[in-house]
Amino acid sequence: MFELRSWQAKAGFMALLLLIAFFLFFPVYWALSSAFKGNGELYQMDPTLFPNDFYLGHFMTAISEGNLLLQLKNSLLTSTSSALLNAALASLAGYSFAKFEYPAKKPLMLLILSAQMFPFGVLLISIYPMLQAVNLLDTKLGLTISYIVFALPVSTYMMYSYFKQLPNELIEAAKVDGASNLKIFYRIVMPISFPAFITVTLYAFMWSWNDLLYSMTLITSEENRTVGPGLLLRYINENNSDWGGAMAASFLAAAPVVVVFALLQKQFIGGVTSGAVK
Amino acid sequence: MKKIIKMTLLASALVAATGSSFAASKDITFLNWVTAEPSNKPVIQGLIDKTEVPVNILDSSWGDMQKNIYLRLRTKQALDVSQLQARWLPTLGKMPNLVDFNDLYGKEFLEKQIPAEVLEAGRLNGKQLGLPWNTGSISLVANKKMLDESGISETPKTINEFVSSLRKVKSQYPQSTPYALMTKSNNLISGDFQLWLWAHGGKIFDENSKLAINSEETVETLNFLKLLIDQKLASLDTDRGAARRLFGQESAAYYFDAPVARGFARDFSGKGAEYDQYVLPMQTPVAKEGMTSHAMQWGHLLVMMKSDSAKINGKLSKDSPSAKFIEGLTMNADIQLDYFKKSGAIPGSLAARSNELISKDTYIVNWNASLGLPKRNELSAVKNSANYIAVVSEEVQSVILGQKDAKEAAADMESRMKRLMK
Amino acid sequence: MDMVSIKDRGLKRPKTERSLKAGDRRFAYLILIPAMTAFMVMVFYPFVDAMSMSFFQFTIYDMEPIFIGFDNFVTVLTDPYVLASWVTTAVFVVGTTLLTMTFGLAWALLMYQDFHGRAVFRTMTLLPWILPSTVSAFVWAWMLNGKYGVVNAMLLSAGIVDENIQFLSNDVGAMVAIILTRTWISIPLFMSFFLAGLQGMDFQQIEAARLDGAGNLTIVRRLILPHLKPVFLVTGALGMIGNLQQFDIIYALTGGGPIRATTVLSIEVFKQAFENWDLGMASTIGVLWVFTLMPLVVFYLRSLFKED
Repeated sequence: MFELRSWQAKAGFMALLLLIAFFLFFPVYWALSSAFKGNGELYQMDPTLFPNDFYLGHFMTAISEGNLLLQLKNSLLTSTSSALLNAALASLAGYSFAKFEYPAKKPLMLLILSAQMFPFGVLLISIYPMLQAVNLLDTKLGLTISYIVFALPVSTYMMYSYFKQLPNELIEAAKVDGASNLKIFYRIVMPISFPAFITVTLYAFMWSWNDLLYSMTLITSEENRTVGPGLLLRYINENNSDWGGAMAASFLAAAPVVVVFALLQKQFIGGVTSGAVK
Repeated sequence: MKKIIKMTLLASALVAATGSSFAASKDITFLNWVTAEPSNKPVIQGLIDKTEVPVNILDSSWGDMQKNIYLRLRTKQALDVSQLQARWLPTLGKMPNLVDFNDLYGKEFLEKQIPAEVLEAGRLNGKQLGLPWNTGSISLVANKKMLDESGISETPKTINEFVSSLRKVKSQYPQSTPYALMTKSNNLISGDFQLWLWAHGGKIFDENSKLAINSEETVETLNFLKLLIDQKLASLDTDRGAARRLFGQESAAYYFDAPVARGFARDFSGKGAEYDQYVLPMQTPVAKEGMTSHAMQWGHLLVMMKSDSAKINGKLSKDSPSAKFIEGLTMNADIQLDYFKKSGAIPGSLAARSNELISKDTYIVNWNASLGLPKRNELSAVKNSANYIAVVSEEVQSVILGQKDAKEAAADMESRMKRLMK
Repeated sequence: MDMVSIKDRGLKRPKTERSLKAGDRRFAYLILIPAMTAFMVMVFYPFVDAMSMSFFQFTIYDMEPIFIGFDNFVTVLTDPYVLASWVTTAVFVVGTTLLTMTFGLAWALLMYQDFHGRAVFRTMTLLPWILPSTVSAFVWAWMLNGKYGVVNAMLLSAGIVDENIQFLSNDVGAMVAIILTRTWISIPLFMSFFLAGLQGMDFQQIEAARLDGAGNLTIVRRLILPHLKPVFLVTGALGMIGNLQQFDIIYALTGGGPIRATTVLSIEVFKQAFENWDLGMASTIGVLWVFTLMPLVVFYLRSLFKED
């Protein structure tokens, strides 16, 4: 897109590229390199760029002590379930808004979209006793359900804009063939909307995956603890700061999702491109 | 659609799973923060096994502890026994449902088991709502090795001597933070501030619980803290965890901590028990010679709820599982000494305290000699203490960061607290 | 979009039977039920509950809420320390959103250019976004550490400073830290959005402009930025909303301090509710927060729908 003929243009491009790349990637490198440093090397005023000897102790203790793997499993389970649940709800609602006409459509849509502005912390005050009343406090299911709050509005909007631009002929044609609305939705509309569905799922996944507020409050037992609070409680608190361990555990915690994202990256950008957001 | 079906299946599986675990649990629910640290888990589990009471351990981080107790009680979730920081008692003691141990075990029985001054930590308005599980105080600890290297042969008695000893340490160890003053986290800042306020002869509340914070002593204390920061004798961004590490690595010569300080020095120095000789508890220096030195009372309590596990045939009983459990942890010398051996927690019961393990331990003896007159954290007893702690800590920070002068901050502390008291 | 709606109109056949339409409508309502239920139970009811709670005194000492009318509102609106949270929030949200959009756009433009190794860069870009926010907070807190932090080491060796800066202990430093960290996390998502917007660029237009002698910067200003206008609108809204709700990173990085320098509204509400246990006050702040936001939200929702 840019023409980089003159050396100034090339230099400018390179400079900007390196600057932002440094900002984006150096922290990741630094955390990784810190994870491989022994405490002697870690806590010195003049840090080394590469670890002197690849110390694996932090990784060992991260796995052997504490419940990192269990927390990881809990995080993946709650985040994935809530993301899929969210994407399913958003697809249904988005389709309803995009392809049908009915009274009260606009107000209902505004209502759902406006949900994003309600402070999550305030909602939590009421969600807590609600979950308690149905025995879902301190359970993974309770947390999964609560996570829907985060991403539903934007997900619905994403699915809505995607469905909106699907040609109506597609649906009309199927109708003429006598297919029911339900059948059209899951035989025709959903299969071609797969990229958008994936995008929305990933988007919702990230909300839950990142969450600290709800998981910290709604989960109190170690068996249900998720990664975020788990790391916070274990590594950095006012009585303890184990940076090497924190870095190593962080990477272990992030690894599985990094792999999944690397695989789904094309779909994600594809989903965004195809109009889930425009 | 298939996704939805799968989800429903998953959801019902989860419900089934949680449902079954509910049915199975008849154990006592014990909420504590010690087991949140994985390395402590086997230690505590070992102690619990010795009580022979089936227990379901719930752990919470220290910072979330009060919130979890509060929410559990308010939403009527299972909670039978809980650990408490002694200074939380005035706040949480107002919750309904707490057992008065005088009623349960009998006052005389308790006083035979536990020294009166130790029991005091769990007393509120004449009721024995908490029993001490781990006692001690927050005292100043010095790194004797660093003092020796810096040519300091005697621990400082006055604040002036303290400051000049910090300067000596700084010139010997230019990269060090001679005194690891707590400058991060409201609780820690307000704690260290009070210790120095007392050392200057000041206080937050007078004998009639009237505010006395807007005083000359407060101004002096604030200026003293600012001087430490300005002259790099203390540094910002320091919390207890950082201080313990600095101390063990010989980058800090002094800091305030509980008796567990020794264990951390062992870990962070990498030298284990060999390092014990350098961990020296000392009296907090005071403004003028002859003034009383103070440490801050500190300890962990156990509290018991009037739940089903506290009762036998519908009545509170000292033979109930909860009561047996607490009795084991707080009064069984064998269990208490085991805890001491493994974690350095100082036991509360007379039997355990008179054991040689405790009475002949130089560190513990030194520790007890370092106390001066222990005082209770003044902010722990007030209603909504978190708000007061925030006020003190915010004003202290604004002085050491140079945003306010000490006089202004002292006046603001008083006026903001007045607002809270209304 | 316009093309589609014209076709739409062409397709509206008068022959559509009433019964068929009613069936459609029923279906439309039916598939709306799950999302609506979730919304009602998890968002609407809790918020209404909070609204009513804001008229009550409900602290740890009160086993039942006590009605006190507007007292909570008076307390909040006359407390300069709490009111300052509104300003802090505005600084954080505006600063972060602007910075994220700038870097996100710049990075998208760079990643749109064809060069060797682009694919690797693009894949790696998602990294900051994928790390759990606690992890990101750890990484930045460690880099900005006042004693062993690499940022201080770099500044020292470059001769920019003579002694370590305690980033997280002074008010400006802490605000910069949370803005940088949040920006760092958000760039990947924003880049994806801008990249998506760029896919629809008309290359002939660019070629034509080049023939007219336009340079790279002129093309960005004259052609690319106007083309991306709708993307700006959506990402701007998403960014603002996301940053307003931001809690995790700030809590893990600064806890709202030093003093109250990074106590944004989400932190304030959490502290009031779960540290001071003053549920009435927490709800009051939440309600006031929503009302401050209302005009902004209405404005954005409107401009989103204008696109249709």
